[in-house]
Amino acid sequence: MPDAAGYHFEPGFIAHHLGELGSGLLRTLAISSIGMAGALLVGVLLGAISSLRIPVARHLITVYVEVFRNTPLLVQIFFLYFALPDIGLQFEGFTVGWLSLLLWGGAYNVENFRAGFEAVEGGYVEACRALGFSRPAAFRHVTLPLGARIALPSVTNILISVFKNSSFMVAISYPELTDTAVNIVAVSFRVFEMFLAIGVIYLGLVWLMSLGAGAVERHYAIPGGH
Amino acid sequence: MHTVRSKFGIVIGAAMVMVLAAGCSSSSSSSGGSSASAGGSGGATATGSPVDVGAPLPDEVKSKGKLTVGVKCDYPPFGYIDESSKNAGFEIDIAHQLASYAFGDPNALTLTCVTGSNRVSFLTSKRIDLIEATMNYTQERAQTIDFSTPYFDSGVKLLVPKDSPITSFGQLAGKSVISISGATASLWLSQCMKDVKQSLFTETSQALTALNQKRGVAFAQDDTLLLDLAAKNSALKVVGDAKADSPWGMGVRKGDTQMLTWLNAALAHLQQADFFWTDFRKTVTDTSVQQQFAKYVPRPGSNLTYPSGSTLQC
Amino acid sequence: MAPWVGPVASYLATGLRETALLALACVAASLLAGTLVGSVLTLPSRAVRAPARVYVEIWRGLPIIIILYFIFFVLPIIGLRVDTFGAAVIGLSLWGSANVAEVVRGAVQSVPRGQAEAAAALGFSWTGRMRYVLLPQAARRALPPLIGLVVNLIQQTSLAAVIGLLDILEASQRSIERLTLSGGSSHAVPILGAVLAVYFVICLPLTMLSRWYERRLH
Repeated sequence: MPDAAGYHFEPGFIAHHLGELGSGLLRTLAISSIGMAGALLVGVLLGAISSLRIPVARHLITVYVEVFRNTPLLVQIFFLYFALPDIGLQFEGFTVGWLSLLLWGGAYNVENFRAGFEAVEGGYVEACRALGFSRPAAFRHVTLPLGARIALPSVTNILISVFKNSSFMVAISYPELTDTAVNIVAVSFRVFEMFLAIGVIYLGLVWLMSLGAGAVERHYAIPGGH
Repeated sequence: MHTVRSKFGIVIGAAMVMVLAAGCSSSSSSSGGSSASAGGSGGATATGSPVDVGAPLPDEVKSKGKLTVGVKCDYPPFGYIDESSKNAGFEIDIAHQLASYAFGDPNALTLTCVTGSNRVSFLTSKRIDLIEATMNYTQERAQTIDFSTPYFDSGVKLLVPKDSPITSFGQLAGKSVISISGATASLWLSQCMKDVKQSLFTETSQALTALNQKRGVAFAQDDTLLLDLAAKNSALKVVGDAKADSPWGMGVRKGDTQMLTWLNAALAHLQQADFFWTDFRKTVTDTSVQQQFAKYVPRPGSNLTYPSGSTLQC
Repeated sequence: MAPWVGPVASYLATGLRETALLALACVAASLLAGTLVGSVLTLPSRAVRAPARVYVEIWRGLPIIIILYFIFFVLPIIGLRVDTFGAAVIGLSLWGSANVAEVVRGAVQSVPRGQAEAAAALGFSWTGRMRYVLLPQAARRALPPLIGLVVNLIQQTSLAAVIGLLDILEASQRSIERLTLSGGSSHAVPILGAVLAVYFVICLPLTMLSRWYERRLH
C-alpha cells in the first residue's frame, strides 16, 4: 500500500514481534489486575468508613479522594516515579504501575461505594436494627450487599478504566504493552502496523471485560429494584 | 496577553513556593550549572536574501516559507532548551544557518523536539522536513530514511557513578543498564550484549535521574553527551571504549531526492565557510573536548565519510 | 524566591495557557459531537444506531494514549495533515464525545417513555420531540455526569504531552529536563507539585458543583 508519504503497510511485521508484545501484555495485565483488585478493596473499605460517618477517618478519606480525583493520573504517575525519590521514597516501575492505578481507581471507587451505601433506604437498616442486629452487623448484612449492587455499574466502569489507563506507564518507560510498542517502533519505524495491532488488543480486552461486567451486573441486579 | 501570562506565572510560582514551604523539598539551592544561552538565532548570519547553494529548494518547503526541523531538546550542548526556554546548541545553530540559506532569514524555522524513539516517525509522518537530531548513520536506518552527508561523529560509552567498579562494557553482563529508546547505544546493546537488561527511557534527564537513583549500574549513550553530563555532575564519570562509532547525518524521507540534493549542497556550503568548526568551538567551550572531537568536524578540505559495513560491530 | 523559580514559573504559565485552550476546544467539541451521537443512539432505527454505536464503542474502548498516537502519526500517513494542537483536540474529542454520547443516551432513555409518546401524539416530529421534550429533561439528569466528564477531559489534556504539545505538563517536563541536565537538582517535587496544585484548583470547584447539583436533583 504505497502512498503519498511513501509508506508501505507490512502486516507480516507484527508476527515478528509477537513475543515482545506478549511479555508487554503480561506486564499490562499484572499491573492492572493488582490495581483493579486494590481499587475494589480500597473502594469498599473506605467507602464504608465514609458512609458510616466515622469522624476524622472520614475527613482524611475525603482529602484522599479529592486530591486523586481532581488531578490527572499522568501527573500523579510522574510524581510517584520521578519526584518521590527526592524525598526518600523510591519505587520500581512495576510498583509505581500498580500503586498509581490502585490509588487513582480507589479514589473513584470510594465515591462510587459511598454513594451506593448511602442510597440504601434507611428503612431496611432500621428494620434490621429492630430485629436486634448491631450497627456493624446491619451494615454487613444489609447496607453492604445492597449498596454494592447499586454501585456495581459505576465500579466496573472505573475498573475497566484502570485497565486502559495502565497504558499511561509509557510515560515512565515501564515496559507494558504500550511502552513495548513504542520501543519496537523506535527501532523498526513501523508506526501504523504497531499501533493498529495494540489498538486491536486493547479494544478486544476492553470488550471482553465489558461483557464480563455486564454478566456480573445482570447476575447481581436487585430484583425489581432501583 | 503578557499580563495574563505573568499573572499565571505569579500564581504558579506561589504554588511552587507553597510546596517548598510544606517541607517537601530537601534543598532549594541553585546549582552552578551553566547552560550557555545561544540567544535565538545563534551563529547565523543576518537577515538577507536566500543563498544559492547550487541546488534548488524543494517547492513544498519553499511554499511553506519555513523549514521544519526535528531537533533534540535533551542533548547539551548539541540540542537543548536554554534558560530562556529557547532551543539552543550546535545543531540548532546549523538549523538556523540552513533556514538562512533557504529563505534569507535564520528564523524562518520551526524547531520540533524529537527523541531517539520518535524522530523517524516524525519524519515519515511528514511532521518535519528533516531530522537533525544527533543521529548516527546505521545501515538499518538507511533502509527507512535517506542520510545527508555527515556533519559529526560519536561512539557509545558509559556514564557511571565516580565510585563504580565498572570500567568497561564487559562488566555489564547480567546487569541492568539504562539507555535511550531507539538510540544507537540501545541498538548496540541489543545486538552485542543480549544478557544485559536494558531500562529504556525517552529523555536524557529521565535516564540521568534513573542513574542517580541507582535504577541501573550505568547509562549507555553517545560519548558526546556523556562528557557534557559528567562535566556538570562531579559524582559521575565516563568509562569504556567507544562502541558503534559512526558519523551523524541528517535524515530526509526515503526517495526525497530534491530535499537531499539541496541539503547536501547547503552542508557543503557550510563546510566551505568553516561554519561547523567555528560554531563547534563556540558551543563546546572546553578546549580538551574540542581537541578530542576536532577530527569529527567537517572543515574545508577534510571530509567525513560513512563506513561501508555495519556500524554495530561487537 | 530561589533563582530557578522565576523562569520555570513563567514557562509553566505559557504551558497553562495552552492547556486552557486545549481544554476549551476539547470540551466544546466533545459536548457538541457527543450530544449529536448520543441523540442518534436513541433513534428507533437499528440501522441508523449501528454506526453511532460502533463510534462510541471504539473511542470509549481505546486507551486515550493509543488514540493520540494514532491521530498524530497515522493521519499524516494517509494524507491528512494536522498540527500537534489539532491532533490533540481531535484525539481527546473522539474519546470525550464517545463518553458524552453515552451519558446523553442514558439520560434521554431515563425520561419516561410516555412523554415521548404523548409528544408524538401531539404531532411532534422526532427532532421536535428531542428539542422540546426529551433533551430539556435529559439535560437536567445528564448535568452532574457531564460536569464529571468535563473534569475528566480537563485532566486528560495532560496526555497531549506524550505527543509533544507544550502544555503545562510538557513545560514542567522540559523545565525538569533543563535543571537536571545543567547539573543541579531537578526540583521535581515543587515543580510537579505545582502542576498538581494547578489542576486541583481548576478541577475541585467543578467536582463540587457536580456533586451539589446531583444532591439537588434527588
